[in-house]
Amino acid sequence: MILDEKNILKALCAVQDPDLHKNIVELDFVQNLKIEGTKVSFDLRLTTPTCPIRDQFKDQCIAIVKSLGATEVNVTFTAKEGGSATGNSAAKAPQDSHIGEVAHVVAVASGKGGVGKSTVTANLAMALSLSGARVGILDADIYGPSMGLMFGIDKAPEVFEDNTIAPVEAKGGVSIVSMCMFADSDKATIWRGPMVSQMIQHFIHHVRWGKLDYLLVDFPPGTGDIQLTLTQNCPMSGAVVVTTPQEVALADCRKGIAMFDNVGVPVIGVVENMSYFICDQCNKPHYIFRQGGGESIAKKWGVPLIGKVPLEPAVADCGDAGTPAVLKYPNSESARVFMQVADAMVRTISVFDHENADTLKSYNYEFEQLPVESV
Amino acid sequence: MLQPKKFFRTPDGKLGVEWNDGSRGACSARDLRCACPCALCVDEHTGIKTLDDSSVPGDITLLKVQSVGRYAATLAFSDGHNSGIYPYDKLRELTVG
Repeated sequence: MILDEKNILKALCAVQDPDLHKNIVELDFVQNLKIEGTKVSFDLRLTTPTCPIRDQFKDQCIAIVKSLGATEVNVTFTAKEGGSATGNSAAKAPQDSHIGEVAHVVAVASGKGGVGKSTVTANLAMALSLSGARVGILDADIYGPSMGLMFGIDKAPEVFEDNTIAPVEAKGGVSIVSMCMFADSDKATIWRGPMVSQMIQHFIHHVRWGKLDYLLVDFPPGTGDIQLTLTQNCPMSGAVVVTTPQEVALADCRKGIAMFDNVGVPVIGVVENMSYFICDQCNKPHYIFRQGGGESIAKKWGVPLIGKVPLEPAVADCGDAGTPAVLKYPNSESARVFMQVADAMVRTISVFDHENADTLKSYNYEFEQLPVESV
Repeated sequence: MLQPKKFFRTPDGKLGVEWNDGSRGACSARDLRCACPCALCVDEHTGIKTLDDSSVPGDITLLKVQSVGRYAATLAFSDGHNSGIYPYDKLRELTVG
């Protein structure tokens, strides 16, 4: 067979993306194809730089092209740039908003407090960062910020003359902005709704995140003012909902899911935290709370259960000690689950992007400038 | 999830929307203004409309269409009113029916 572009592309059609259910040629992943004699090189433009199956793609591609007679095959990964044209710019956003450079804003939320949202956010961010993504965390819990403690941050962010903020770069290269950086840790922030809303909008629009692949927003518990401000001001790519197995948490978790349904944010999946306890003596899982809560909510609401995080004393200490478990105990069961959750999140967002490729995400039109068409 | 694919103007000045469920339709600026769901036009507690349609100018036009998160659009009208947030399902009902 002749080693030309047509034959190579035809052969590469055999490589399927298991999430998008299309082949890589159809998805326009294969770019910049160069053939010099029997040496072939091309780029694989993935939907996300952290694509969990990229090595599998690469191996398949190399094997296929070699079977056509190539002696040397070079595959380079590139990723679609987020931001600019199709990215986020918030509703009623000031012209100078910086959120547009963030490719995907992901909410981490729950209806109920104390289920471990912040722990999940911190570890999910770390897992994403370890797999090569540029990640930021916006700690939107104004009244009870915890990201400072979880990452052991003791410095204040730089505030520029134009009132914009540079996030603090924490462990693992994660950029963070949290209320704890602005308030004395022992003093309470006693604010009414409008003040909090203003602070949230300031955090959304005036933080210089730079180019990020994922910005995780650690939501405060509940379905009120702050949650609404957040969902109105930045078009979220999706939401991860955290719960514990008990009915009391599940009841609120359902409300969290319902809220995201109402504001048009697709739910990526449910993470069941404190699923079971791993005893440090016998290593046996003990189901302290109930069993099967996460499964039941996932089934009832048609959202996948993307991880069951166990209670492990050593791992639980990590939050207080300022280093997320994924970084400190990468071989623990918890770390393994967090990596799995990160994987599921990345893949699901790619699917959402693909499905919603032709819908409008954020816009600000002058009526006079809209095209004239008949119905 | 219901999402808009495209906004356009009809030759007679209506706001047209193409939705991701394949439907397409348009609604006049005046009908959109009269259907404003904001707290100035609808009583927050009773849900009863407080806006008097006759106070809306007949020649009212739309100035701006802007997204609110992923679920709604906010519209700015020539009478200065811009506080209504129209969830997509409501906007679809107004444009397509």
